[in-house]
Amino acid sequence: MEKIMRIPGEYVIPHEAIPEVMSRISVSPEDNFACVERTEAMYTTYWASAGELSPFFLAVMKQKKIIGARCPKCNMVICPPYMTRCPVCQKEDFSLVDLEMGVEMPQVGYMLGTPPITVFANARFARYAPFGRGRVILGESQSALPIQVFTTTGFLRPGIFKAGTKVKVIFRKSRMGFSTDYFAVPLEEVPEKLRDKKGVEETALKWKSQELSEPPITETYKKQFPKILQTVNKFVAAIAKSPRAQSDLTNWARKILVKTGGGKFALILDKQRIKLVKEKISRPDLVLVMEDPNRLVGWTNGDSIVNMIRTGAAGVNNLQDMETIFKLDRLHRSIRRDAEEKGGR
Amino acid sequence: MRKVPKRKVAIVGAFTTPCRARWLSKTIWELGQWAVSGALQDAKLDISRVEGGAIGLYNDIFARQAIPECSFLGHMGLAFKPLVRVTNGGATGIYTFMVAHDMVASGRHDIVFCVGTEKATDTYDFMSETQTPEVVQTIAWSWDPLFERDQGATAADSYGEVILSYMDQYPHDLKMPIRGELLRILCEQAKSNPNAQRRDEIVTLERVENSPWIIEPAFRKLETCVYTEGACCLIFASEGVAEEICNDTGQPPIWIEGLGFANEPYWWGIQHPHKLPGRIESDHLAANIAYEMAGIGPRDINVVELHDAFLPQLEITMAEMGFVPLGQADDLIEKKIMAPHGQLLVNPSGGLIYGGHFVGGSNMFSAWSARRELIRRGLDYALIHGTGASSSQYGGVAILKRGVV
Repeated sequence: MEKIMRIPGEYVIPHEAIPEVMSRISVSPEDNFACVERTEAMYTTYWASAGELSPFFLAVMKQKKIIGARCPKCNMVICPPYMTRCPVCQKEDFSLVDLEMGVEMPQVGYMLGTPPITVFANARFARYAPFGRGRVILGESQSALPIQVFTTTGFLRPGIFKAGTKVKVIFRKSRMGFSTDYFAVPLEEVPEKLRDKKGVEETALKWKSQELSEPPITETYKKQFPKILQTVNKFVAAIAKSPRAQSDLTNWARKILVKTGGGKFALILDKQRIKLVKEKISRPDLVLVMEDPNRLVGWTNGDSIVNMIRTGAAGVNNLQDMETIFKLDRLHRSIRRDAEEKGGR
Repeated sequence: MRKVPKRKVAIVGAFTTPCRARWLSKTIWELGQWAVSGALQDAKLDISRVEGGAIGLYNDIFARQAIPECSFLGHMGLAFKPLVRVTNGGATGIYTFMVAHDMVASGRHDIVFCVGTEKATDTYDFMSETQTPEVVQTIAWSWDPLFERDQGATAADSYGEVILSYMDQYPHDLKMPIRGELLRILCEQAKSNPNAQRRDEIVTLERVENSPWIIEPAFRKLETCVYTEGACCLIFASEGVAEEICNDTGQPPIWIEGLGFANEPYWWGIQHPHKLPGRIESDHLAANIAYEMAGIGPRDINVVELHDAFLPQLEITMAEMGFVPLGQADDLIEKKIMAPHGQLLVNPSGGLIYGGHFVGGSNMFSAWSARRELIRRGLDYALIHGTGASSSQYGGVAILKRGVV
């Protein structure tokens, strides 16, 4: 047995995901019934073997190769080699034909379809966001290799990867036998000298990160700013009258600095309320930047900040705290629904 | 060759609980028993006459118990009788329907329960202090653990990839104004379903267009199904017994005329035996098998209760089932096929997006609604559809016909 590889400090179940042993008494709103709620977990941990599929992961880890399998009878090639027998072909004794394993695949291929992009990942995957996850056809393979897709040009937006986009498989510097040891980037983003090279590692590419620039202050926006602040203030004040909105903010505390082309302010989320603060705040948890402050008025009318970030109309300094933005986006609908119910629509 | 069961089977009783985002005051056992009790009442049936049953329980994690069906038997009045647990991804409900049908059609039993129940939102993510990430993560455990799950495959990806690849092939279909109109109709229809989860919502095209993308341009937040806690019970009886029960209740038997099922392979590729991009072939195959068994076609159907996990998938599935051509799913509205613009009632319950989606029993909930519409409106044929599993692999279709008392 070789020595154990590990990522120090990283756990299969993040510590912050594990609740203490707790209980509480909650009253069901439907029937006013007092209920006991307890924290529970169903968990199982594994030393999970990749078994007969191990050669695929070993080839990635040790040789930076992608391997597939071929049926000697029908010539079907599959990558990844997710099984060891052809499900179509049989031998004379009626058993299934064994695939020839270890067929080395090319490392340039094309996307089978447009991959979905996850901008707002849950905690397990937040460190990768934004990422796409699609399927790539390599060489003669009839099956597609599931693969994460990234761009070297910054924020991954729809349109960079489409069905048929040529991609190159790139390997992580540290490879531990997971399907995240490799990923794909558009071939056109790979320097020409590396395109035909096999086993290219992530460090051989130039990665541009998303930069948050200070929005330029304009006279027009500056003039509009006080009225916009009033609108935002009125909106966040409505949370006090909306049980749904308060529930959206349960157990959540953040200091958010909002920088716009009209000026700055802060939103303080605490105790199921949001307070608008015009004064400077120290050490914000999150910075939200947008050139046009009128977009905030849009937000108070139901526009999504998530969409603004996606389209580049706004930015945040920490994509891993998107949960806060989700919560801000939920508020309008919650306030509206409570108001509609109260007013009998 | 047309395959006909040994005996005809009818739905003679049905009950569904109200759909709620969370039933804080009810456990999964109580929801299941409530549904059974209501169905017995609907069929005016002595529980001792029920000979067995099938129960749809989507997954053990939501149920907080491995082998959760073991607790249900006694609650359902089936002590010392057979109860089969079915789990088949999102299509658990329709596959439970098949098992319960076959228990009667085979001649083994005369009367059985077909139950589905779900409690999902006890799950809770202590990092975001909300339920949704944990619900979604639970579903995401269904991805292949070696080649896909570590890559961050989400529950939404499951249909997102299918829809995006359909859009690759048909870029001019699934237009947003059509999707907005479909959502408006579904939302309106939910208002006449007393058990619908989102009865108080108002949906406009503007609200749909402002809704955040979950996967761009596949679907937005308002186009996704809700998560629901609830239960539904149907009572199936054999020909001869069904008429006797229905004479007592005064409600017509709803005959199960056709059933079809097909599952696509897990792995995607460029040719069979792999799943192909841009298609939900399982829906196509299942519908054709069911039409053939019933001896009818899509033109004979009056009501469709379709498993609309995501709105664009509703359109694709309608095309796969032959109501509109592939690539022209927007014809549902543009060619006035779907009510209220046309004659065909699609998801009068509000569907899974506005009615509710308690996975183990969603397709029973659809059957409950279809039966209600057939009886209420005096219509002849309804089609029930279920889909599920990663990449919408599993498909099931049942065709119902209103009988006479």
